[in-house]
Amino acid sequence: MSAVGELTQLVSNRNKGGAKEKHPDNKVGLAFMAPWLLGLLGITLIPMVASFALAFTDYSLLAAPEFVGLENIRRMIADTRLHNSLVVTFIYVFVGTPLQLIVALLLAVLLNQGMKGLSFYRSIFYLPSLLGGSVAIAILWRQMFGASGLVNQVAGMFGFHDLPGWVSNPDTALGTIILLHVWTFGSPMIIFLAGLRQIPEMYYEAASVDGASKAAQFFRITIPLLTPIIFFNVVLQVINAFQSFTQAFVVSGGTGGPSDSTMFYTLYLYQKGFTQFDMGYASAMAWLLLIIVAIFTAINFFVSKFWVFYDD
Amino acid sequence: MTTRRTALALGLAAGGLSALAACGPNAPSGGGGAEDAESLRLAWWGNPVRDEGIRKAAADYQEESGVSIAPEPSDWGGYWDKLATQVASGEAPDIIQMDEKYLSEYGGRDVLLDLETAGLDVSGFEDRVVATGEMSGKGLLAICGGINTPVLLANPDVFAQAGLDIPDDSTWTWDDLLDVATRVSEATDDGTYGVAQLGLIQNVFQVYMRQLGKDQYTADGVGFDAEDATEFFTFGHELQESGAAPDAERAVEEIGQSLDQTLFGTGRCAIGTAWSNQVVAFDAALDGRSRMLRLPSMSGRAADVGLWYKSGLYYSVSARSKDPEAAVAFVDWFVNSPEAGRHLMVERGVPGNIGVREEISADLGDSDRKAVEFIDAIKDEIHDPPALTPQGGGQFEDILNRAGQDMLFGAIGPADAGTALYDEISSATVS
Repeated sequence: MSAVGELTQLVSNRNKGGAKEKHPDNKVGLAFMAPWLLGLLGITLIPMVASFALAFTDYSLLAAPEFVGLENIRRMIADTRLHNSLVVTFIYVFVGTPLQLIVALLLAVLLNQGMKGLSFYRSIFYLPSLLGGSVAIAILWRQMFGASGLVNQVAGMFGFHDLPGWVSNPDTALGTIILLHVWTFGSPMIIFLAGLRQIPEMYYEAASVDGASKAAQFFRITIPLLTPIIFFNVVLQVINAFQSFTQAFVVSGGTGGPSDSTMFYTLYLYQKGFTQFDMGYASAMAWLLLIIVAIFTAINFFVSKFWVFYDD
Repeated sequence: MTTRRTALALGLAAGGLSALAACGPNAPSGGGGAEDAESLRLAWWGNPVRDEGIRKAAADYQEESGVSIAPEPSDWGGYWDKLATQVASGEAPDIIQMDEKYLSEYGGRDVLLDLETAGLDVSGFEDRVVATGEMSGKGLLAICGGINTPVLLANPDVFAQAGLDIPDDSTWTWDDLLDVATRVSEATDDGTYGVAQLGLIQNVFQVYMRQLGKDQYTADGVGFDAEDATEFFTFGHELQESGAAPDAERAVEEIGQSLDQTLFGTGRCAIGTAWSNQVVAFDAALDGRSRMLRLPSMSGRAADVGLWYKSGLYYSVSARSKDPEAAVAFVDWFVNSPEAGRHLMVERGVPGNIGVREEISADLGDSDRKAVEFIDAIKDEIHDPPALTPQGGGQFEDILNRAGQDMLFGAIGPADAGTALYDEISSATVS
């Protein structure tokens, strides 16, 4: 049960005037939860309400907000740069997430073979995931994929000269950010590893006795039994990918890349709110993002009925 | 049993909370805003040279007057986002370094104090320099912190590599520039170019518009039309096609680079663009070898270039400062006293106060001298300053970059780029 669910049950138990022995425990429980509750209220809930109110105003940050009704929504419908940023974000999510999960799964299967130095390899493969969201790595990435960056220099050693600057060309800039995202496959990989461990050996033994090949075992046993884990990773990674900001901001230098090719939705939101003195519009954009993420999560859950296989 | 557990839990929580407090923003060892009632907060953007200069000046002021100045430096990119948020939360710094791009945004919303009514002494400044900080109906919102003008810088070593002379900058035209830059690119190795991609540079655009008899802005809004913009972009396109300027990708990578990382700053470009005060930073990267040139004109006469004295940056006081008199007193000292002038020399531009300018002229370093002499040499060629950038105009560079990049990558032609530029800046500045 979720924390919020437990909390409501705790409170309603008290109201029912139930078993008196529970009271002291409730107090301690609530005391422990107090920091988290305050954070939920102050950092999440109240700002969300404020943001919803601001979405219907014209707020320049420098002067008080002015109510403008649905004007921001009308502007969003007509804003071609916003539509472009949605396209860029969708490409990032729907190309980047499957790629990342496939790499994570393949590596998890590889690491599951059991080998010498397994914990070492596991840590090494997890490392990019820790660093990947950081500004420092994004800056390095931008240097590496520049016109005279490391990647082109290495390619030059193999005889490929005059390669384009990957980060500064509108056709390939988004690709470098997707690559950075795929590189941070560590956390889904660890979860896949855990899931692989849960598959009982007896299925594989029975299959080999029946003469099934490794590939058949993979597709007929591993994948179906892993579907709950795959589903979990898909939902989580899609939600995260929609909210990506740091990589796009740093790799494009805050501009949204050559010709808006890396203008993620969140980056456009940031520009609108903080550099163009249009915080009301940015708040409306934030709520649109929430609606989009909610829709895709709902779609994920709905479609999961058709492909996720639960043992029980 | 419960009481022991509760006591243990509370004890751990208390210890944890105090540990958290130690790494919070108000931590004693951390620094940040001083709580002293006598201190003023000064925010600026800059570079290490400027940071050091301002800190030394602030230390001097503290000795003289007893008022301490809490420094809040930043780099250009993050400065404006931070300032907007600080103003929104009522935490604006007392003294704000301001730029012409955003003066209307902040000034028009009553964030800045009228310095003239507050008693700032501007008698040492030329009227036209003071006028650059005035907004009609609001008074003097910002005082000039340093004068500069758009310039081109030439690297004699790259010219020598190409076996060419640096052209005479008082008679050259845009075609001459194109010509010599193309020859430099051809005569030097791959990766060394004749000129930076001028089609993406805002101050070159403004000079070009002024030479066409228009300007970037007028008192009524956008001052040019789509054809003017198209002409400018056509020139940028020719620079790329002829090889004089780097290819589109390298041109894009230059945007937002720190000065010592650009092609010109690393000695791989013969002519780069700059503001006159940036010669100090460029010379630091190029061993003092750069030469300052005027931009070309259409007619070949220096008086037609259309340059003006721009305030490279200004100093303003927040209208909601807790101690406006002390803040204005500091700004007065900062822009009018020779001691402050000596700490910063011409890094922010030639000092607006003429007395300060004369006082520091004896101590100028070589790079500083180039800037001061140039500003002096063009004083008879100066035209009127342009109208202040209106609200929404802060996006101009982004719009110019986007339209320019689309053109450089071949997605659209110069005519479409010119129309896009005109349409977008017009709708951005509609109030």
